[in-house]
Amino acid sequence: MTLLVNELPNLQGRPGVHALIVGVSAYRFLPTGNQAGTPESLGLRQLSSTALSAYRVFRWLESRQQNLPLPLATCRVLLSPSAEETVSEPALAGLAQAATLENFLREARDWRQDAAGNEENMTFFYFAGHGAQRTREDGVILLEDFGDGLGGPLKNAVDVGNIFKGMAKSNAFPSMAQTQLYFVDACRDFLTSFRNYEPDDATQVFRVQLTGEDRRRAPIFFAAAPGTRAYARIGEQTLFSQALLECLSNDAADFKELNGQERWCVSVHSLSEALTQRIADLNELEGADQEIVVGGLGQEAVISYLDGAPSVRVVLEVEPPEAMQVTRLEVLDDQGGPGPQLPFPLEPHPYSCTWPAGFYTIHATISPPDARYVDRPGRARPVMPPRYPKKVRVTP
Amino acid sequence: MSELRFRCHFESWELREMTLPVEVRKSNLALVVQGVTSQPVQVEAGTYHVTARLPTGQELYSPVTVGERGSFVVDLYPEAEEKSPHEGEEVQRYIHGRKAFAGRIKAELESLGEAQAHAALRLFRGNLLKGAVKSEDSLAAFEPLPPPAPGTALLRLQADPPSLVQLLQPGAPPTNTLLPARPGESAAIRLERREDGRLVLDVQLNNLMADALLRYYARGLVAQADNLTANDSPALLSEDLLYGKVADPLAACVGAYTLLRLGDITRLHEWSENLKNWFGWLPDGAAIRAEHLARRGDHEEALKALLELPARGAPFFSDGLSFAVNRLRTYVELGKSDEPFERRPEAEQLLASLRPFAAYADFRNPVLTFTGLDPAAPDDRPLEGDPLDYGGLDVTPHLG
Repeated sequence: MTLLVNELPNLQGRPGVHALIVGVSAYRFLPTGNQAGTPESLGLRQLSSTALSAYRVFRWLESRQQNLPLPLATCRVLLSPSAEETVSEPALAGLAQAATLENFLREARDWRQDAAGNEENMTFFYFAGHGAQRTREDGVILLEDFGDGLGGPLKNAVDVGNIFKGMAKSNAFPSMAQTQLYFVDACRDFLTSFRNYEPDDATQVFRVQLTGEDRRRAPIFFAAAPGTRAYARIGEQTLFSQALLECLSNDAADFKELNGQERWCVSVHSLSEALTQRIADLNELEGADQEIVVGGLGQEAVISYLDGAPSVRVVLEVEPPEAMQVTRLEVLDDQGGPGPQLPFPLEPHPYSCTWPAGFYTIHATISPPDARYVDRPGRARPVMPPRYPKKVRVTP
Repeated sequence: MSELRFRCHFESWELREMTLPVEVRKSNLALVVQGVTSQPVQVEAGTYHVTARLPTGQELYSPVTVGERGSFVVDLYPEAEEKSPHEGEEVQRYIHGRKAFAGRIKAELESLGEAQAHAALRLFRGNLLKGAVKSEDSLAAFEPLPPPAPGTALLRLQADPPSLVQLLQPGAPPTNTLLPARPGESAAIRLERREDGRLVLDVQLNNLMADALLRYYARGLVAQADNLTANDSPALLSEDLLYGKVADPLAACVGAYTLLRLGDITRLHEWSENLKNWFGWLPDGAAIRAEHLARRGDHEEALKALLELPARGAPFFSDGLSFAVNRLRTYVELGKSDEPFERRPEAEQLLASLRPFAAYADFRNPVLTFTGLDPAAPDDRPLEGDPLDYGGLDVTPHLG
């Protein structure tokens, strides 16, 4: 089974979201454990968390479908999980068909067909697995049967650029969805070998036609830039998928008036900013150096709504740090009432906490008085996601 | 309705004259309007919170209460903790600075390990697509400036287009960075030593607004980039071209690439044609015009524009290379089947000449940067031996 959500009969031609989600961890022809690689494997090995990451993206989409700007119309999923992933998440077993080239080509064709039913539709594409980006618009992604030794080395790989171009409005698809989101969560391990090949060597998913005016809102969020790697916690989740889901659920929220109603929402632009920030935070935490690149067409569009105000990661620092022992921080909310409590002294320093988005005033008082430092009265500041770093300087 | 005007309180004139993207929010955080600091915005009576975001992430903020009618000025200041200690450092701190590394290396500290390895800079001139690039033997083209911070160096280079600067470091692939500058102009580069000891090179555009716009986009601040290129804003860097004035064509390129990235081609009007026609030395004029035409569905003309690239050289900006390669791939592929282009062989040849640069380009960098000791033949082989063996300027003495 691959079409895990199909609400088309209920929608009766009304626009909806059409998703294609693919995750490959178990590459059938890549070496496992200490096995030596083959010439076709291009130095690549098995992955441990990408199918699980794709599954989590699917679950997010399914569980948050009420928060999407349009009903979730279809969701196609292809997964090639590792044995370890299936143990840690039993729901992966038998949930979806394997992410082989043949399955991918078939599902991509049907996905495009559904997306082309109404230009008000929105599409959602997510891939996690091995891949490599060549320009801001293209990236080769490798499917489960990559490296089978039959045909060219990129026969069981497809080019994101080809998918992107094939999803444009054309004579064959005059009512193609005009809002399209692409997320390419790909490792970069075989970049050096890949430079010997061209994206054209990958199997074409769509026969591309010349298009008329292309006015799509269609950003492509690549998890890593060329020459850099995407990372994952072994057996758990890719950093990009973690950041993406956190951003879609909370961190990328902005408060806007939409159709006469003020709502917290995530948009293309807010996601772009928050993803960049969240990946930087995860880099700091994990010691990684991942950097996202946004390609495609980045016109603004709402991606999802939140049910209420988001929370904000707050990082507070007293400057100089040695003043921390005598600096008491008091937080007031937008009404001047007591806000979130902070420990005194502010340890661990810098101090991280989570506050609801809002206006806060942070006063610093030196207690007991110390001639080297001064009280620092604060003023109300908006505290918005994804994070609010604040240094409180108490030197005169 | 009342009018809100904005006044940014910086020390340096460059920043005081700059247009910044600004957000006006209600007390419940709801966004009321996005604009730019050089243009007034209309709001109803009430209390608002105004924030201007800088490319490096710092914010200028002020609340304001507005009456029924009239004009109100919002004075925006940097946070006391973020304030630049010196006027001369403001541009580096607020526009260019890499916050993550700021202040980590102190000039007065003595290294207890091996001395930092040498690094060298070489300047090349010529058309990369014709393979005709030559290294400048003279060091007169390099003008070291006072280092903006510890572990950094600032240099000005005579950058008659097409020129590129090569950074040589031991054990690392040499990096080549195009120098976007007008004929007769110089270009500023900043070198910064990172935690791993390697130097990174950053080109600083002469037009500060264009430079800021590039940095907003590169740092994911797309909403701010969108604000700056808003149609009704003087910050739209390229409007002058539409009216036949000779503006800064490099700034116009940055504006145009941003609009293309945002998918907002209506704001490009027809000035992409002027950009291509009036500045024959500017490769990006051809790349931008081609992408603009292709987005409008005029593919024959788009290809014609792209085929001007061999005479002009590789685009200065990585977006130009990215757009060109992707369009050419489509045209070459289609030419094989049922929609043949008359000039397909030329397209194929151009694609073949651009591909090596795309393969070794760093698309995180808005200015085209790729690796390879021979700039005309990119690769990723690490440099062998001492960088100074290859000639060029020893940059170590110029690092603060």
